[in-house]
Amino acid sequence: MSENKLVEEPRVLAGPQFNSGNFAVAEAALFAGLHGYFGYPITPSTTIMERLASRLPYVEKPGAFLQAEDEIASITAVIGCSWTRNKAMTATSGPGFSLMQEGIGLATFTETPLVVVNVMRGGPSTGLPTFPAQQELMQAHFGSHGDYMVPTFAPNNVQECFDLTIEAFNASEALRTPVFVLTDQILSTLKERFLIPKKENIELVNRSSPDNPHITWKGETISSNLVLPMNCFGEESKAFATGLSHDDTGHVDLSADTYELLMNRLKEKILTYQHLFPKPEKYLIDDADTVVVAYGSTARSAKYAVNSARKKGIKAGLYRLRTIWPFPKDDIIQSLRGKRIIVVEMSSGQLIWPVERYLKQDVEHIGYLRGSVPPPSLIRKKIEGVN
Amino acid sequence: MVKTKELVQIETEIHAIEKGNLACPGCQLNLAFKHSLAALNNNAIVVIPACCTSVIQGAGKGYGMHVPIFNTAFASAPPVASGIARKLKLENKDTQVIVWAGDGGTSDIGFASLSGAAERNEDILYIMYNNQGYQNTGNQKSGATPRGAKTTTTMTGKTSKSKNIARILLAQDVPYVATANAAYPQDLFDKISKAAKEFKGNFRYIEIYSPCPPGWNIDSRNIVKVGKLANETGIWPLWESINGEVTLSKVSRRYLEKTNRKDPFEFFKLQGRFSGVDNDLIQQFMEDVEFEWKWLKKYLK
Repeated sequence: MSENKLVEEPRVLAGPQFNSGNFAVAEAALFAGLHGYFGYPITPSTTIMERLASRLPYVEKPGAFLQAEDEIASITAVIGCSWTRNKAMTATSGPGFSLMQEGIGLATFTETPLVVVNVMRGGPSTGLPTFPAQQELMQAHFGSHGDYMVPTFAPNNVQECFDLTIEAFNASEALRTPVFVLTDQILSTLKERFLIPKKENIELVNRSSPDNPHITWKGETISSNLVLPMNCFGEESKAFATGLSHDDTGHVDLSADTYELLMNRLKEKILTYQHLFPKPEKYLIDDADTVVVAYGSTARSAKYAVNSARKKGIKAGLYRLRTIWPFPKDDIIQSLRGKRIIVVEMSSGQLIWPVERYLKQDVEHIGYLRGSVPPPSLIRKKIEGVN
Repeated sequence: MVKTKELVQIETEIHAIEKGNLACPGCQLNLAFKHSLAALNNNAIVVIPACCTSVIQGAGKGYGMHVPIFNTAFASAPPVASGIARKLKLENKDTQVIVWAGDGGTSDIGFASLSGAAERNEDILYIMYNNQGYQNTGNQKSGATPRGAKTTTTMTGKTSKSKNIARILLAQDVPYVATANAAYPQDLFDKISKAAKEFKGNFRYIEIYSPCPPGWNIDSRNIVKVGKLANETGIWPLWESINGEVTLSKVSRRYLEKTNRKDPFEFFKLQGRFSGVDNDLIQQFMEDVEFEWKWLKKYLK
């Protein structure tokens, strides 16, 4: 690194900003204490990497920025960095997310805190690189082989891109797990006003260690039986990590009892603390007869449609998911069962699966595959029952 | 070497690249593609991973070439080509299977599969056009970006040496390895023809230097000049290796002698990607160039 450009910049650019979702993600990561970014260029996520290339090595307490040779290297470098007790992340899009899947499985099994931002574009394969889609909802849950669950958050505006990225870092540190942030091409380039708060106004969580096994998140103590204190490399204790089945000390144990215990604990630690994850936005659903279920930038269009339907006297509402996995099944049953439901997404049918499964009723669907958010008029007509 | 007049005639007859092309003004890879397809007489099946070419190959409906093209995933062009080549071999067809890939898809994400295909000596002509970065996504650094060059992910100039894939493939004993330059179409034409005709049945590798106007921040009218200067300053020597015997190509022969080379400043000053870069870094880049020459001299007959 040439020394002449190393002018120390502030890590947190507190104050109002007018910029894109990708910018907000990058700044949120710096806010949360990001220390390692490892990535590979892929549209439309590249600007997150470019922003961090120009910031991360030059801020106070600088971090490591590295462009790897592919996405497999990116995700595994993130895992390596995280095991040195540093917050690490990567950002990618469809094809890159597919390449990362094995690493993601490894991260869940070795309980590695990290954040992956997936800026969704049209797939499969190269698909629509510069247009939005929401086709990685299932991949976020079932992409890697084996049973696992990765907490998955979905913002729908630039402020949320900032807020949920910080939530993602906190969740990953508190629960020792990878966390996904699913944005899309629209959010990546959409510019909006958003606020970066002062550093002291936001809680940041750091993972537990053998010396400090008890950590709290949002006022709640995280059980050290569910989330084991993390031995990291470069510390006095001996750290060991493996993708094989292992006991609580991290050592290989392929016995039936150990494997079952481990698998149950990994699931349990996510489900136990899911009430701390971002809550869904419920817009005018109390008296609504028809509720649109959506997430991400699709929900912006859906909200507009709900407002226009309301103007016509139709009792419509919007249920917007902010945490996709684990699916907020209890809340959705309590809030929506019995109402007329329309699931709107930029996919031929992924969000509709969990909604149907948990509500156990007929659900109407708009699966929009035209490389943009479904227009409000289309959703409004569906609400009105015109088509 | 093919005469310029002949080359012009061949290219006028063959029309390797037709209208409806999305290349930037001054794009060198597009010219290189044209010369290469002309040298192959359009008798080729082309596998293209994600790269500039997969975007510029055609606007709207159809595409502007007369060869079948398979656009594949980023890391997988050599295996796709292997699959095609194996089948053609069984049928004894003379059609060439070409991989046409950028430097990112070759030196970074596609490197493992390239090395695998080379080891199996697949019947593939692998052509890497080297525009020294991920120009399709807006100029990020790649393994082939030279030291000192600014990209959006190496804001103050890349600090590590570029990866010399041609040299790596020599270490894998690939029968035909050559470097070329889009600014020297006759030399390029000859190398492609030779690789296609004389080494059919083997793995072959040709690397084409393709300056990129937006990525390297060069005025389009200077683009060929930059390509020529890369040779004349000794920064990009042209050579070929036949069964491990390395020879300098005619256009590069006189630059073996350092005193014949032009001042590299001429080369740097035309490119925005080197402007404002630390002098030490530029110095190191020139040392990298010397290192390559030292290596070349060791192997030259």
